[in-house]
Amino acid sequence: MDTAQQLPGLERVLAICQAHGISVDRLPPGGKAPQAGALFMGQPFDPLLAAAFARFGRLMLSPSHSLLIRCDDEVDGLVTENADSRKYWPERFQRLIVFGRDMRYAYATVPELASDEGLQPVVWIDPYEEIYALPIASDVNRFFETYSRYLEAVADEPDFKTRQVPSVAFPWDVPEFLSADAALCTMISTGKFDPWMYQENDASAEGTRQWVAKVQDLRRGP
Amino acid sequence: MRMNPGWRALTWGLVALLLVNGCATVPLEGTGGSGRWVEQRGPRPGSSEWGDLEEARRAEVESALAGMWGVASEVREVGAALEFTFWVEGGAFTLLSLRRPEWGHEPGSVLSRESFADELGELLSTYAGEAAGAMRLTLRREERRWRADFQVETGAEFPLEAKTWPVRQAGVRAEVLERLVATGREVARRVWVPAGAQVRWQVEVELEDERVRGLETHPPGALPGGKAVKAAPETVGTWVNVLAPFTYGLGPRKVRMEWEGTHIAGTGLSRWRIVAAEVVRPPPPAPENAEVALEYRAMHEQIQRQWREQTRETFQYAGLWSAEQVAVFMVAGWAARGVTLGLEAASPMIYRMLARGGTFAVGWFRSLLVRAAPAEKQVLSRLMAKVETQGLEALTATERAELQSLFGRMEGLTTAPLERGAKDRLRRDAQTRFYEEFHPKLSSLLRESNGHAYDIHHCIPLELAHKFPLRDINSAENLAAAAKPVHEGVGRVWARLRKMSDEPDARVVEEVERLVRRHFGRWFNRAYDYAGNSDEALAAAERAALEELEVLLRSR
Repeated sequence: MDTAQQLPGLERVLAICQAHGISVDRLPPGGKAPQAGALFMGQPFDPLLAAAFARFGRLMLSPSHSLLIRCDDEVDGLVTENADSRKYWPERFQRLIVFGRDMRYAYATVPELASDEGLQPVVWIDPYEEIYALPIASDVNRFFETYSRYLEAVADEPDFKTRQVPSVAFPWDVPEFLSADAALCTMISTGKFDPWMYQENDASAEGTRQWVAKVQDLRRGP
Repeated sequence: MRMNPGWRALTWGLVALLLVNGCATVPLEGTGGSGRWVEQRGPRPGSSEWGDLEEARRAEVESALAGMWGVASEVREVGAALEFTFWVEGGAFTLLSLRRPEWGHEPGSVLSRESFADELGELLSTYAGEAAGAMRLTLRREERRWRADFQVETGAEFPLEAKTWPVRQAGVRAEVLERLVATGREVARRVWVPAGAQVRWQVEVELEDERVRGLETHPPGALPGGKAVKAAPETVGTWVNVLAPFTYGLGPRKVRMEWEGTHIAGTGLSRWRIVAAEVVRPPPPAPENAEVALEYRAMHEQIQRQWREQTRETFQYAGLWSAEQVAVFMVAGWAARGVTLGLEAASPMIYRMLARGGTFAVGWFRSLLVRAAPAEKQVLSRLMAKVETQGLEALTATERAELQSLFGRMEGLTTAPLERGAKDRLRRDAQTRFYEEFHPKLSSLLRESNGHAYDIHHCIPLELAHKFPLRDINSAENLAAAAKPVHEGVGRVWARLRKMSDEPDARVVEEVERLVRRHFGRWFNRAYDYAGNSDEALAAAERAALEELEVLLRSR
């Protein structure tokens, strides 16, 4: 199966970027990215992520934002990025595999929540203050799909075009895009992501709960 | 040529519009530097934008011709001269002044507007594509024609009321014309001539964009005695024809006119002729506000152009505003109009910033807008478009109340902790501002091995920004690029402060900020040496900073 068939969401990101004049900095793949299911720093590597890195050695939307961090024959950003997360983040966040970054925010798969087919869900990590994560997709293809919908919504805004400042923040302000992912909503409602979403003595936990409620309400519909 | 319903040609009794072939020169690629509207690129030949531009240029020539014909059509005296000075730029004509230096003698033949257009149309079209500058067009009346001569002054200073981009609509808006006529009637009611005499009056009309906002009439210093002879009714048309072409300019200004009235022998009425008319500009902005004022001027021209090309009913501002533009509008546009809206009491912080003006105020408002909910910005943009096109007086009581309540909410934001979405937007804004505005040279230098730009650190952290409502949290002073290890180290120092049971006050926050700068500042805005022994030095700096912080917190 080729990448386009495996990752239609990724194709959609590229199509949206092209349609709206968003430049995408892409590099050809190298040979360093892990294969599907191979162990990466002790964790199984997601097969769809492996397919994405087999297609691109880097996919950047701006100098501060990579959907796929650089991983080619010259630079193994996957290793350095995940070495950093092990160095700086609490233990439970060290079990995630970071594959993209947006400023200091990170996109990561969650190996321990892989489906029966081995597909890992994706979380968005905010390490700026007290670190926490929000679940954003039930698998890597779905992540690209959801992100393409977000990009489509903000691409023509003047502040996004000129300064990369969208009017709505991903994923905080766009629960409607996430609620379309039924498998994700099920995983959220069963508390699978709780260890990364809620911290001890977390002052912002209430905000997170409200956001989760919004996602679930939108899923259920009016 | 488009002529929207609700428009009338500039034909007060005399003038009709003319179709003239426009020239097809390459449009100017942004004139820049003078506060003119700068388009990134001109449209390509054959594109719809190119067609629009050509149409706009034809409309400009047509408007200029109609404006001149409105004055010239009343002059039949052979030997008379009329002098029109236009600012011509990018195909747009803006009338700056007109004079009648020669009165002439015996009346010549009646001339048609077609012959007038034949004489001048090609000249104007050709000149429309030339370099920007002042063009003085002298028309001399001969027996059967007007002979035209022109002089160009390319070194002239750019007049702020001048258009820099052609407007695709000829003529005067119906409601503008109505107001001009009402003004003409008022002038006719006020001026008079002593019986048997000839006198000159000065008339000043205050304009904002195309709208008449005020009228002053000044009699001559000494009026000879005698019965007052009022202006003949047809004089109203003469006033309007002189004033109408000045309404194509932009912004606040006055048109100062000198009129000569003569008692028409054997009647109880007087006849009036224009001697001279010129634009009087408001004083230039203070130097510290000049940059913002020019930016505002360019933005104002853009929205005025769209307004003039549409009817009131169809007008919808096609462009959306960026936070930067809204901020410029608020600081320069409203301050220029002296807008207070009772903000002083209800929104003192916003009021202070409006009063302060300049680039700092723009930055402050921009950061405030970035943190405001998108819906708030949309409301502001909508009201702003209305004020920009129809004046502040056009806001209804409901809209004024809406604006005041919006400012009230924005004022509240300045002292409220930031929400997550707002923090996200401010971080992105900081990243762009730092690398594109403040330190463009650092953009390619401060990169991690994977190509990522160093993240931007807020020296006063976003989570404590509400302690400093009058600071611009995304100002150059508050932003520093920091490699990941540096940012992590700094983050741990601030995390310690976060663990305090009560929130620190502004004084403590400032002390911690200074402490952090002291210990980590040498790594700010610099490439981090991953290969050397920076990690050790960084770890030592972090330990020292944390120790100092403990002392500081114990001493509270």
